[in-house]
Amino acid sequence: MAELELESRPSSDATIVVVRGEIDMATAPQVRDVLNQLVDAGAARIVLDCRGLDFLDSSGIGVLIAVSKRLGDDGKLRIEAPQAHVRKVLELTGVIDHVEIAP
Amino acid sequence: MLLRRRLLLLFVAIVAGVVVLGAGATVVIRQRDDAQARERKLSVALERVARLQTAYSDQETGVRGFALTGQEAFLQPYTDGRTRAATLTRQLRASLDTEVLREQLQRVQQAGTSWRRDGAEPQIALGREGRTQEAADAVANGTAKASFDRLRTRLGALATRTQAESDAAGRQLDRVRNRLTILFFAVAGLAIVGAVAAAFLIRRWVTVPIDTLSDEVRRVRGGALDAPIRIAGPPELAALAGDVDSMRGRIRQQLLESERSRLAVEQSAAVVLTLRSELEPDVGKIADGWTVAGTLRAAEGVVAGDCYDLFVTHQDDIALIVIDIAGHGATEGILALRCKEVLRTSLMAGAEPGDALDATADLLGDMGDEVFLTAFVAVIDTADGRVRYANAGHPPAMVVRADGTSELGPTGPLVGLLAPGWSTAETIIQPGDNLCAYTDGLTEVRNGDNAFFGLDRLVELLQGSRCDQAQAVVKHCMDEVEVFSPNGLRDDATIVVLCRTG
Repeated sequence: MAELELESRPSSDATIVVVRGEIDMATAPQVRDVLNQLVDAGAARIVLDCRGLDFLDSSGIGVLIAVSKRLGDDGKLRIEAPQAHVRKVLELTGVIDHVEIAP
Repeated sequence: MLLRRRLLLLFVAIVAGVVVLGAGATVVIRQRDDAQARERKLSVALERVARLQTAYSDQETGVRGFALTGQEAFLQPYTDGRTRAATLTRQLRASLDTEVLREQLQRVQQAGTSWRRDGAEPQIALGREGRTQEAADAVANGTAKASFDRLRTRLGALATRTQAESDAAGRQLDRVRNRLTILFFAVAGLAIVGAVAAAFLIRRWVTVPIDTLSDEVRRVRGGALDAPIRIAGPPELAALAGDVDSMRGRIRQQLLESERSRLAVEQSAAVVLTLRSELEPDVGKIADGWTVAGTLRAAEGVVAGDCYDLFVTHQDDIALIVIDIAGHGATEGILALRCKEVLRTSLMAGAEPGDALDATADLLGDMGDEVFLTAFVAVIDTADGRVRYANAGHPPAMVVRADGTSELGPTGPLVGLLAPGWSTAETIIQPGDNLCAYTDGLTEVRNGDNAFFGLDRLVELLQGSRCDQAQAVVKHCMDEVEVFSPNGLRDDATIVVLCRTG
């Protein structure tokens, strides 16, 4: 059973969400809820610290794209330090062109 | 009757019993005390009567002695005796409590007075005058003696009577004491009976119904949801059982509903599978020197979101489609099929793979947010082995050659959600080469140690099984996946293989 830990904290110019574990069909809803809450609360810039993200599949991709769209042109979603295979998925699906990725 | 009222009545009965027995005991104890007091009084009286007898007797002796001797000293017993007799008589009058006894005492008193008047005083007078001889005669004479005898008789009667009364009082006391003993045994007996009855009733009204209810609840907890819970007992406990039964009914209802939902999912899966197979007409006549095969294995308990197609176009090209739609469920499954159909139509008509994807993008666009898919679409010219393909964010298809493997990677982003536009790329398949397209459900299969199957392992597998029979390659790959993860798939896994023999 995949496990996921999400920890969010505000910083000077964005809200940082630290992700640990895996985002798959089972845990994607949890990520969606947390990120949606942040957007509802008014966050315009969200940074996902993905150092501890071990797995990302299409369910996770869907959530990222949906949140990115919600943030709109004024907001920004940034993926920070994705592991190699996660980065590959983002490149493969073309998400990398719509979301800021910082190595 | 309500349990609380039953218990109240039981309590009232016990209290009433205690009160009645208590009152009874109080009465009998008082009787015993009275009997005891009377017995004591009569024995004192008896002793006084005896002393009265002595008092009179002393008087008589004193008078006789004085009469015969004329000595003053002999008058002392007489006067003492008189005083004593008077005191005793007064005391007896107070303590003799029956008519008869009092009357007899009266008669004794009268006899005493008579004797003094007729016997004692005259003799004393004679003695005083010195006429001793006459006094002696008077003593021996009948009148005084008769008078004293009468006194003595009456005293005797009094004594006898008093004794009788005293005995009677003693017997009465014994009787009352017995009564008291019986009463105490009765109280003890009734207390025991009461306790037993109370225990029995409480067991019947409370303990047994509660135990029955516990058993029923335990039975339900163990999974027996169909039999109703009912207990016999007082209204409150019956009501409780009724409530617990309602709960059981609700649980059962919810279980049935979720069972129905699960069946519905299975049925929709069946519908989708049926649709899928309905929509898979013959592959068509494939040119000589080429073999194709594909298989799709759905993840556990879900409707598959993967779908693939292999067919021959109007231009006699082999078309290959692999689609992976995000999510599971009847909606996604049907949408995947519709996308596949759209692609098929486009490719049949000779469209370039990249352009065919545009039509799919339009279809998804109509579906609104959060629907997207990845796809690999290829058209193979069987005359020269030229492959035109488009890859929309999909895991790269592999061309497996004798000297290595090449990847056919993305030519655009995934479909839906992002800006559309896919280019068509090209490659060549030589005789002896295999082309393999798959979905990430295959490479992302995990084993017991949570390790991925992975692209490298797939590539190795393909290189090892490269041959001219596509079906054999497909079977080999799926067998390896099965071995790697005997516990099943987390996501749908699809593999499509095309082999060029000559």
